[in-house]
Amino acid sequence: MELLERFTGGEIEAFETLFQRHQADVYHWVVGLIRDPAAAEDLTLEAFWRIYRAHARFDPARCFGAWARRIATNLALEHLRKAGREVMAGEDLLNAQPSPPVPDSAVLSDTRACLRRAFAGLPVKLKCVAALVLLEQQTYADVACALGITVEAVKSREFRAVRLLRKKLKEMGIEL
Amino acid sequence: MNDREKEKLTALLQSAVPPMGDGAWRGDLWPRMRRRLDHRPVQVAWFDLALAGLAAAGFIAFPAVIPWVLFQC
Repeated sequence: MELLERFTGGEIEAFETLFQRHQADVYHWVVGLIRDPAAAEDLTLEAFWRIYRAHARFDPARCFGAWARRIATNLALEHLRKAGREVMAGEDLLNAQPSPPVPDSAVLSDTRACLRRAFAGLPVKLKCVAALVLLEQQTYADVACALGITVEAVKSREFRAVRLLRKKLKEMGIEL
Repeated sequence: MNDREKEKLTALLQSAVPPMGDGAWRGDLWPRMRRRLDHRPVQVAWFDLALAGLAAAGFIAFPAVIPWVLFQC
């Protein structure tokens, strides 16, 4: 019997195989969204827990990876909203990121700080798309599938996110 | 806004907020998942609960049937 059919039947070994195959992908997807490695592990675990509980509803003809990402994305969005951050991460977390080892002028450093603030202030919907498309370089199709929207909607949100970032930077006195 | 401006903003954004999902993670969450699966609470179907509730209500309403039921068992 095919692996996905065995999983649908509730076989734990089939679930373990799928878990081992997809856990890294789901983790990277989630951490790209919420930018918090510890929370991303918890959410990855929770996503697979929900996947296991919903095994009977899974259609083996569908792509398991896309389904897993979709569930994980919903959890990540829920996490961000619950945390009341309305942002991908707190300023402290963003500031904790290692800086690139290139010579950095004071102006460029200031621009980056402003951009981090502008990014942190984006609405969740736009920030998700900005994080996945602009930062993580995911494809429009993958992002659309995970968010349950069309490719056109992803492009539209990306455009709005970029426009909003430029507007916020302009308000901070920075022209790109 | 043209593509060049977007690329410039993207590059600057990537230097300000570095990507996280770069594939460096090599963890294994299966042991935690396994523990969770082993300790999952026993799930009782709503139908079973309803049946048990009906039986309990029946015994309370007609206690005289209890000895008869016990005899049948």
